[in-house]
Amino acid sequence: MLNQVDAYLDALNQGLKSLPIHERLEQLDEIRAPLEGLAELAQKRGHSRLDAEAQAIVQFGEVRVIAQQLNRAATRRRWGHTVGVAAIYMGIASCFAMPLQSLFTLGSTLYRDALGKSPSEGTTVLVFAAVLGNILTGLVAGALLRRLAPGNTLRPLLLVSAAHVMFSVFSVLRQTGPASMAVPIFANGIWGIVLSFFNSGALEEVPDALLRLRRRVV
Amino acid sequence: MSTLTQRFLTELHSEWSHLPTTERQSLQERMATRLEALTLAERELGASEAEAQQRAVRAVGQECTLQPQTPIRLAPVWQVTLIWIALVSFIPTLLRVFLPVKSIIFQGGTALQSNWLVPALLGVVGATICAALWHPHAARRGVLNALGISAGLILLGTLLTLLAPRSSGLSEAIQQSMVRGNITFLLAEIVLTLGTLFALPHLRRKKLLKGS
Repeated sequence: MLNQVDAYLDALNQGLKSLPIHERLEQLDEIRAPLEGLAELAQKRGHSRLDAEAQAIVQFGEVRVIAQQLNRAATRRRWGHTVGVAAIYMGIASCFAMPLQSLFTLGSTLYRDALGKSPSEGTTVLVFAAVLGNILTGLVAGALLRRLAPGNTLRPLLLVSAAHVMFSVFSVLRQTGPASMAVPIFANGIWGIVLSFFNSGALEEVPDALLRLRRRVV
Repeated sequence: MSTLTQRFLTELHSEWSHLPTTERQSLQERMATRLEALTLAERELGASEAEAQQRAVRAVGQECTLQPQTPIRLAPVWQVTLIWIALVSFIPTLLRVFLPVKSIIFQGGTALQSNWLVPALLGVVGATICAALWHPHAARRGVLNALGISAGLILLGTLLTLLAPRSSGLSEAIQQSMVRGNITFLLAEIVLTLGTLFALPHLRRKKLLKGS
């Protein structure tokens, strides 16, 4: 037979469904101790066990409110983690992108000169160098991300992709360059990120993420 | 513990292989306790032992599909370093989205050659503040590391600009202006970063004093 504290914690457990199981159990364990402490205190004051538990629960607060606060704190923590990992990914990418692209551009310019092509003829070689730089950057950054935040790479990469899409859309809307360049600029940047999705294990997290989403909707 | 429960816990152990051993151990213990409690509850509801175990395993299994959030496996100093490097180019790009400018693609040391200057310098200050907030204890060393890397990248960029053949479309005048721009930006970056870094503890102290 469940006592009132257990029933309270069960109800709280239902309210914390969006939290991963281990976090939820941790929270419940942390709440159980003070709750039982309050009940014991009331019992020492002369109340029956039943009354003492009821009083402790009233003192502790409504399940809905506590669940809301815990969910909010967990969401804040999760977003902090996501933003941090996304920033770390971008930091790694920045460290590799510039040297790789510059080296490839220099190499391709020298190669174009060796072929004896004029600058206008050899644009394809330069574009190829830029794309190759992005691809390698994406692969390296993805692999490092898998090591640094295993199992938590989907959200950060989605965030980075969203930022990239936002910048591309703004650049098109504000016509900051020739319209014909918007798509190539966007495509060049997104290659690396797409490869990072494969390389970091983010795609393996998709089923879990969908399940979590479905659970939250239900 | 039954075979079913034991097998389930072993599977869980391998599924969470990416977690540190101690964390995995504690999670497994929690799961074992949870399984026991659920099995007992099912038994109280009248289920047979085997049925109760099966239901408990199914319930916990569903809950376990939620991937636990792993801590970032990188020393705080390097976390600060990478965050600074990311933000120092991200913040100007973000600012430029909302500012009336011609181009929204930011290219490190070329800031001085266009109207990138204000967003770029704001980016340096913003990146230092954000990185320092991420791990206040590792801020100084982390940001100094980042400054070293950033200086290295800018100098490498400058060197490659100088090495670029004339056929790349860069005239000598443009090359010289780019080099000047890179060096000036680097100096401004160093001064602003160090200034912000040393001002931060004073500001924090002032805020604490005001608060008390």
